[in-house]
Amino acid sequence: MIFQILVISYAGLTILNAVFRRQKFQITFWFFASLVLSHLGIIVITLFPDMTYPIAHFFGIGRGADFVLYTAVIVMLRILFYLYSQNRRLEQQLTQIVRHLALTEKESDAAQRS
Amino acid sequence: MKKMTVFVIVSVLNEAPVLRGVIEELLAFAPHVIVVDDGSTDASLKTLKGLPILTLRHLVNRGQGAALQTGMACALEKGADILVTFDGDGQHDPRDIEKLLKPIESGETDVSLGSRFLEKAPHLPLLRRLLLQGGILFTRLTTGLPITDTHNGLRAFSQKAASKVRFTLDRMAHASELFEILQKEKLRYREVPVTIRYTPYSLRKGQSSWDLLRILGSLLERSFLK
Repeated sequence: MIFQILVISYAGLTILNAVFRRQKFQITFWFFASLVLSHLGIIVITLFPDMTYPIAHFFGIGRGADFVLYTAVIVMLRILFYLYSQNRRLEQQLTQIVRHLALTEKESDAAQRS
Repeated sequence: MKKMTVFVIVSVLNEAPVLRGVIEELLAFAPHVIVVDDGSTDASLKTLKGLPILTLRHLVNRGQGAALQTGMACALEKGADILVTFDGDGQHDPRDIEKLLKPIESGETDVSLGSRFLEKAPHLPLLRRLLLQGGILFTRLTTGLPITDTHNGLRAFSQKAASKVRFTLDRMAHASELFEILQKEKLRYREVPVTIRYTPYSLRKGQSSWDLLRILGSLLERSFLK
């Protein structure tokens, strides 16, 4: 019961936070929508865990909780990989900008002395 | 025959204690020197005041591979026929540059790679030797190239070769990436024996075991993400 209260509180606060941030246009609509939908999903599954049994059974997994856990791990790994790729892309873009600045602002020693 | 224009590119990160001496010695052998300061936080560039060189500055540190790529782009823009890369910590001997240039000038090769292991490397500390041998083994296994020294920063590129080199790994792993580029672009290479000066300073500045692990990580990361 304590776990359910904690999870539902956390998800509820996250949704509220998303609503406030969306009102101030700090997050995009799609990010807002995915935050709200995923956390609503967490609340529903926490309140009615039996709902996941049929899906778990369909995939050949014994317990609904295990199905949720496996799915969460796969989704997390995918997100991690995506963020890592994005970070790498940004690093490469940063290098290009730094290089461009270095090449356009190059100075010969003669220029340094003047 | 037209004399080839040689540009030496020196990437620098916090080398203030030795940099001026390194560049002054280098200028006796190469008139065209480009120093790329890769976001040093010390007074590296200021120590070069008054020297007839070209300086470029990365506003933030992007790694040696990125710095060399910047220097190479500048040298190509300046009309370099041959581009030499040279470390700023004083571990390279400028007299070796001549040996690197010869096979390119004669058209025998596109890229000359300095190797400390073609001749005896008597002053190389044991731990460093073992780490470098590990790197060499890894490069041989992954590229199939019979390389004897993978992380030697003293190299020379013909203009044609330099224009095909595009490092995607900004940091130290660019040295291993180079061998993949050589294969992919079908560039001819030759290893040339060079001397590495192991001073307390260059050993302190050189790659540590962690750096080599980081290089391995970067190469694996690129394999998965490319």
